[in-house]
Amino acid sequence: LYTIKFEFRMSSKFVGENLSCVKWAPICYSVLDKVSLCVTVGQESSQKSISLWNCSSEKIILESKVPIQCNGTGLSFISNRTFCVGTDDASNPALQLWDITPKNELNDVGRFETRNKRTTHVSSTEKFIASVGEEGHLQVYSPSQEEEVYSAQCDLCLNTSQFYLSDCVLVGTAAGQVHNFDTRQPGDQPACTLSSDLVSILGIAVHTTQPFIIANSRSDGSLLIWDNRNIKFPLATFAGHASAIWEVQFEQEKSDNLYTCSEDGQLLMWNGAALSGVGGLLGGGGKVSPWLTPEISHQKMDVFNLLGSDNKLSVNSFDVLQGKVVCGGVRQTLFCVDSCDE
Amino acid sequence: MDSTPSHGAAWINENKLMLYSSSQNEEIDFKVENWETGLNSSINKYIVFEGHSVFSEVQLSSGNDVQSHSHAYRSLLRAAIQELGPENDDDKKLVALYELVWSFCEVLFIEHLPGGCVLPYLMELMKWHFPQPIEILDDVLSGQDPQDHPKFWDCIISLVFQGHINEAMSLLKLTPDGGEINSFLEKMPLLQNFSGHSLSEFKISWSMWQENCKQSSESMNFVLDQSADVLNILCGNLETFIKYKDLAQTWYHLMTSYLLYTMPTVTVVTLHHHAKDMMGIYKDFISPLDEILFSAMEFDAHAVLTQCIAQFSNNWWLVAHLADILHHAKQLDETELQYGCSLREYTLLHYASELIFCQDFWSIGIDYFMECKKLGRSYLEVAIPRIPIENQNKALRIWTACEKHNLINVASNICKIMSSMAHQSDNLGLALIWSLQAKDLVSVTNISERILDNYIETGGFSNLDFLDQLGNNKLLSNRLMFLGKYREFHNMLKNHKFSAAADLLVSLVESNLGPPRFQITLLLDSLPLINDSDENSDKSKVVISSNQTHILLKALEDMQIKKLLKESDIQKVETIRLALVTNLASSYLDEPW
Repeated sequence: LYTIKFEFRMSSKFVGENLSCVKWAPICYSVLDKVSLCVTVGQESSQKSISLWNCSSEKIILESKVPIQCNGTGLSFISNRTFCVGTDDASNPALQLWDITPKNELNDVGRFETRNKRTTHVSSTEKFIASVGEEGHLQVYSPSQEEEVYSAQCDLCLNTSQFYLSDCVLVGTAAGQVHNFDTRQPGDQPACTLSSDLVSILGIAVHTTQPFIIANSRSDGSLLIWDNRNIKFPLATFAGHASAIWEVQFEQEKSDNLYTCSEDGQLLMWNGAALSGVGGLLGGGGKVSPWLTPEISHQKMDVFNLLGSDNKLSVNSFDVLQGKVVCGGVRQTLFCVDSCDE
Repeated sequence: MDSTPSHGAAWINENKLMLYSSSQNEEIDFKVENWETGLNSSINKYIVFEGHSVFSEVQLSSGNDVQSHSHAYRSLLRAAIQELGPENDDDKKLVALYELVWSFCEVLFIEHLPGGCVLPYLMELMKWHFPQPIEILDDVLSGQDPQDHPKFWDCIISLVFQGHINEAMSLLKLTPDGGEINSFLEKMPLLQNFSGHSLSEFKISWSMWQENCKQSSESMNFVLDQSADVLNILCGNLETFIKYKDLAQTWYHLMTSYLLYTMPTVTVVTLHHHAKDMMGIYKDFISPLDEILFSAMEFDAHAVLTQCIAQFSNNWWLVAHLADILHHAKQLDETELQYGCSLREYTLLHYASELIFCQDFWSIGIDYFMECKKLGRSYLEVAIPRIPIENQNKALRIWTACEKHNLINVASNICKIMSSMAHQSDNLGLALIWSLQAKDLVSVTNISERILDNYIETGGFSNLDFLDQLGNNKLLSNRLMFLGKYREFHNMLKNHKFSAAADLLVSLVESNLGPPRFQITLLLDSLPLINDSDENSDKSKVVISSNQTHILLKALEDMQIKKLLKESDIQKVETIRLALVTNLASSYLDEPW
């Protein structure tokens, strides 16, 4: 029998603003250190800001803070120290680029104009930044060339985006579709589309080691798993949450673990890695992802609520890196959960 | 004409005012002024969120653990005071007042007091609220000669007032008479040390101890006057207490100290008599806060709350949560006020109204409104449509909250608003999605017609692929059904399913589901399905049967009779008629007799 014991350590800090996006800064000081700096962006609050927090110790400390006027709606790291923020500022629509200095201060380093008046999501790889918004434009920029390299137009509000196999972008629409745009081919037509019923897609995640596994999180609290090699029907539907799931992410290190955060106040960890362990339950020593065999995952997957049952206010965003999870939302508190498993 | 300008102002909601001016010949010019309510400092935000968390727990609990919830409220207030906000901040002082009122109410209304003895709780309260004696003690002891410190004797008296016996003894050791005073102090019976014994045993020991003190004070001579004062305090001598009333600062502190040395087993019920006497001593310094605490001692929950409402006029946090916890502790009666609801609901409504128009707290405000069983829903129906919507995500969240609390009308309203906003900015796909969510038949029909009109103009559907996934939503409106079927027709053409496409097309023409002006487009769409005799194609089969061709021709005639055709369409009509007639001929040849 193969068992995993989980211990979680939680620290929290009241930050005084509603957090719309929370992301780890992937800065590695040394091989042994765990990730410690995270950036938060605020919305719907009298004091909105972009803030840098240090979560290395038991207490979370504010390192640096820059106030902003409009709601922040998107955040993504382009490199170790540079990140990109999208807002819903219709009078001045642009993505802002910021740098974290070695002294942990925030520096404004540039901007890209966006066609969307209100950005809804920003995602990035080492080469590109993709931004999507309510007016239905997808724009891909190259930070090194400092210009837009691709754009496409959908006639529908785009809620989320995710890069796929380094040159393609998946975008989720308010009508329940996920379009796959290839940045190497010009034109507005997606290379392919995953369609299901008319439920708004709020988050997309791509499995890190088996990238044909795609997870969609939706506004009715359901989680859809697709196999991109066969896009007629989704592989599985999970009803994980009572209301909208804002973000979904596969863990980088243990790629069968999936995390979701939702309007119902829960941050769930779907423990797929336990099912695909070495010599594990599926026999044959094969590392078939449990997400590809929905009958097994429906029956046997453990799901943990990392925030406990006290929190009933929406968790808007989270990020997981090296087993450490940071999240925040309407409760105006930043939570950091460190899992130490044996 | 009289063109004197007129000015005016009107309230929009609690923190927004509209100012307008107009004259008869000109348009109205208006400006909206808004300001943040007092809820925006971090300490206030903290108590709002944490208070909501405890409030939700209280509503779900059965009422047996009211005490632990009250403790939870008190500890969140204490945590806020200790950890948040700059020192000497007005908000912090307000929260400290909240904590004081809450603590008194908790001791008097909620706490289960063994034997009714209230003094140990009051002592703990005074120690928390007046920490100065311990602070001064550190200062005094840190010097070379503590007994020469200017506040030396003040410190001793304060420590004795608060029952810090050991600390007082350590200072008294340094005085000439200290040894004798300490001999009394160390024998003083304390209620905390008598657990396991009955109250009467304690009373007897204590009375004997105090008799001893009194007898000795008559016979003893002390070097210093202050030493005599200390012994007089132990004897419960009122004049000595009054002499040091400034050290006690407030009547409730002096009262607690006086009771410690005159009646340590005082019960909650008789407390207000002593309070009255003490308040008389401080009569020049009585404030509304003191009235609140006195009402609490008289067990008048109603008066406490109404006085709090008057005192903390724009801040409803304390009153709302206090009313709620007193209600759950069954200390508040349920009589309806003139307002139409109970006092608890009245306070919750006001608090929730404060919250719902703050951008940080609107979602919490909805929860509080839902706890107001009588009037909450009607308030929400008015308030929710006024919450500003900055982006799609927020609209989704408001809609989700409405659905969760079964506010169907409001939810539908939100969807209609979002749909018309999208429609105005030409985002027809999004408008349709919101209209479908609202199940708004009229709007769905309008949008479908507009999409069809766009098709006539542009010849394409521009990325509205989701129309293929409509499913049961098609049943909502004839136009939408038509739109769905029409797209199906085009998809069939793309996939070369010609005969199925022909059947569908003819049924669409016959059914008149579409807008009348679209019929001509439908008939034009029949052209690709009709064989061209010049074409050397492999679709030599006739796709549209003779019956179907008759139907199409009849439709064409109907259009001409009803004069639905425009000038520009005459050419198209001829082309269609020619094609249909050709097809008719081919179909007669093709079909068996």
